[in-house]
Amino acid sequence: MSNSPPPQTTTAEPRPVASRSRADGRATIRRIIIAFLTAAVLSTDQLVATAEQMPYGQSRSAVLAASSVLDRAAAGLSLDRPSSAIESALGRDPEPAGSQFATVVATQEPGSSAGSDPPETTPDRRPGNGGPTGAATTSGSGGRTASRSSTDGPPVTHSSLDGTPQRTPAAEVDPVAPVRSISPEDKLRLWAGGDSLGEYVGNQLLHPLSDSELTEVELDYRISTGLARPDYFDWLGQIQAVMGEGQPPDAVIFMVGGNDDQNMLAQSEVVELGSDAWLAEYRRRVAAFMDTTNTGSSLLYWIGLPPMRDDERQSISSEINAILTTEAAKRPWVTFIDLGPQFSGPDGGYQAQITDSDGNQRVARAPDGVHITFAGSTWVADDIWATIVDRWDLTNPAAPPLAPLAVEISEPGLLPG
Amino acid sequence: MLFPTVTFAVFFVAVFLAHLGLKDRPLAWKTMMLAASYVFYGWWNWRFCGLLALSTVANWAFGAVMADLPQRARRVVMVLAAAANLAMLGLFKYYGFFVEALSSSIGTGGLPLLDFVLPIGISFFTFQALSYVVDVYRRNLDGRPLLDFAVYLAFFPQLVAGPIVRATEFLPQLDRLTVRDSPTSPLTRPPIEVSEAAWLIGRGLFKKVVIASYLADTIVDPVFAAPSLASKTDLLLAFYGYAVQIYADFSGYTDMAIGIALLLGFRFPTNFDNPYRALSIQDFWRRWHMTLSRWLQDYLYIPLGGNRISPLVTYRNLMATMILGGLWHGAAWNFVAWGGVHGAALAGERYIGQRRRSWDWLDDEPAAGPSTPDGVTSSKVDDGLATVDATTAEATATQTGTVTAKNPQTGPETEAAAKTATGTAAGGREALWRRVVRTIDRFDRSNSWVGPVVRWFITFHIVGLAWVLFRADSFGLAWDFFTALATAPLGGTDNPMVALVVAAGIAAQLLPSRIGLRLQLIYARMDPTLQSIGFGGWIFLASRLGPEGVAPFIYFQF
Repeated sequence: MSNSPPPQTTTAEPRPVASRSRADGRATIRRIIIAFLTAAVLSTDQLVATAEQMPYGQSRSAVLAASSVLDRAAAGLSLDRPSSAIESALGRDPEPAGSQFATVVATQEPGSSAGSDPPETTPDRRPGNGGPTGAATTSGSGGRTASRSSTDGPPVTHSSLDGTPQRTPAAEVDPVAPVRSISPEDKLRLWAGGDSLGEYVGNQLLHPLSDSELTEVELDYRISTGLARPDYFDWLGQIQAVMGEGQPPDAVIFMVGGNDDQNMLAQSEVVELGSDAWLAEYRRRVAAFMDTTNTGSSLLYWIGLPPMRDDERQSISSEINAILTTEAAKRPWVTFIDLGPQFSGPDGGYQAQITDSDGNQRVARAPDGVHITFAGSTWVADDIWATIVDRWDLTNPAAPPLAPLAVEISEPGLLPG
Repeated sequence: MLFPTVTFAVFFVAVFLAHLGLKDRPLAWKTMMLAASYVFYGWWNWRFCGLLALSTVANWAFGAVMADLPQRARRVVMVLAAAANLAMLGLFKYYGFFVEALSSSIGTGGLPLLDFVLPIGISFFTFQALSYVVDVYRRNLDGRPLLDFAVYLAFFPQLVAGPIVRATEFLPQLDRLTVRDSPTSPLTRPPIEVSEAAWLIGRGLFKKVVIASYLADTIVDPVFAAPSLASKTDLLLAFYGYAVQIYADFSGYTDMAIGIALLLGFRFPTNFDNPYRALSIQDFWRRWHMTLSRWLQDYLYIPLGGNRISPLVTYRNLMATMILGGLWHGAAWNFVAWGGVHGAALAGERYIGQRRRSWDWLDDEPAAGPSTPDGVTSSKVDDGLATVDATTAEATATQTGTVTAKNPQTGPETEAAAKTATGTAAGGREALWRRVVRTIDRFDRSNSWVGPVVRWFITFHIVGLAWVLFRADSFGLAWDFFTALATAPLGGTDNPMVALVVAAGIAAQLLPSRIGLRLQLIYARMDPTLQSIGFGGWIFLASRLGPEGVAPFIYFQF
């Protein structure tokens, strides 16, 4: 073998050597086990939280039971004190927040299922590996396509982004909420929230908003969240808090659903993804959220899910969009923003690229086939902003001219359907 | 599968047990390690494994084919291999960028945008594969069995984000673990450097989970999302915060990767050496992502001619190397600009160094102070991407696969620069340059702290300005950031703790290295059980102090 030895000039510098610094395999295993056990007994609450984030099912129940036993034992031995001390020092709330869906929904949506989640036992934000995992199981009820028009309620206040003839102009949105006069002294209050999908759009929305002296915006995005797992993050509780503040936002912009392809818990029962019970429960949660934004003066812009590359994911996304469409149609203050036409290919399915008004090709979808790229997000945000400008007449002479977006994108109305 | 997760902990314990159990069965060990690495990689997306396997087989075949060929044919095979690797990288990583750029300028000519899934770590394993083929071509390395090469390319600690380990570094260590001295002799493995591994993993965990995640969540992401909404104080915190964040993120991953590899018996090259301690951009690249700068130097800068041909060609080579290095990080103009800034800074340093030397030669007054014209300072500036003279390095690398520093005292470039200086010394611009350079010289030769501090300050801020291009989602946003930085009201910050973390993050790199080594030594001398409990407590602490969840590592996208 004529291979050269590793270059001495580039390998790690000599380390301090002590007799206790080396070990054979067996001793190393012993050390690893001791280290992991130490970390585990000090973090039993995090083990419980991790178990809770697993998809609902037998595995979750088993892991949750085991970790709960450990957690109780650790608490009995006061091993939870270091974590409590750190949480307190960091100003984090150690008390569980619970799910607001349980207590509010039934009174707000007469047509929704009357059940409620059992009280949750974990805080709304817990350390984990990126949120509750999507369920592996899928129902056989997929295949229904999203309806883009309502047949069981008032006309959908459809804010399509392409500006094609099908689009309902923003100015024609049912003006159920009175349009108040916006000025630099009394700015338009916007609140935008959702999951990571929504965050992409929200961040791009910030640019035109931040250049306008007529708006103030609050972003509240939580990655790996959705409506399926209020035990992980409770969006209904969050929107109740937001709307209950002194002056509720004039407009709420919301986008979730990308993480909701998993089982849910309803009335203490696990409901299978895509089943009728799942769809009913999801509809109930959507309705509850929408109703919470009904202050008489606020509008809700709910951004639908774009087409997904993965077939299973696309199936449930279509179901969610259908629910959003019909629930928005029942509520004049809610505008459903359908991304389907803009992000679909000629066959109506997933398409990664878009062609803008100048005929330039742009990659609109992230490599994961779920998220939207910077260009695509800017595109969506630009149209939402145009809708808001129209709705509140922000282009009056008192308003400053809108700054151009960071990336040149197409104008609404010139995009392919 | 991310390192700082329970999933990876379970995975690693299983792999480690198998590693110990198969120590006397080399073939089984290699097969197990290969399978484990593919499981690790496929955890993101099993489809990625196909591309990795394809790259493995193809590059191994290129190496194998070369073995008995004459030199000219070897060269053809090597060029084919390089083209194939770059084509694969280009297709998956740069095709969309290329079509978008064409679309915005001259039209695509019918080229469609295709929907490729960018495999994680493709840039890393492609560079490693290329280094294998080139090293076989240069006869630094014999062609190896497919299984050995496959283990090298897929070895999970370094697969997705480096360090970029060369075959000449990895394969001899693989042999040490798996090749018997004789058919009947048992395999003996050296003791495991468990304390050092724990130290590295613990350090990396803290950097990533606590520092990088905290800075990203608290200041960097919000400010870069909308710079015009931030106060000047927050913009400055984001500016410095991102410098600390990206270092903590990437070096944290590297620390963990090196520590994990060490537990499995492999010592990887150092990848970071307090980069924000650098006193020049060249010095920075000796300390930042060292395995990439080594790669770029040996497989790009030197083959382009290095600094052997002429000053102008050297500048061109520096620019080309750094711009391509920028493009390696991502298919976007931001990265091209980031590389361009570094290339221009390297070229500028080199230019100033040459002028200094030529003026020194012409000066009546003798050079004062400890440095000679070709002393420590000027020799640092004179060399190319790193401290290696191109001719010497290539010759040395060809013979041994190693790189040895050598600084020529004089050379054709020096003479050329001297002639140039003679011809134009009377010019006003020349006089201005001379004044600037003499001021720098005066600082350097004064033995005071002022010179190094000024150099450090300038270097750090050039690096920081380039980081803004690296971080911003678009040129427009980078411009917004700079504009806001210049025009925003001073304002305050809601995050005073961030300032403390940023200051500590920078200060930690300026402290003498011996402090860290002393702490490591103290840890290594503790009772083994105490070490283990301490390590477990450290994991607990890091997980508590960090924000929820584990954000993806920045360098995974590359």
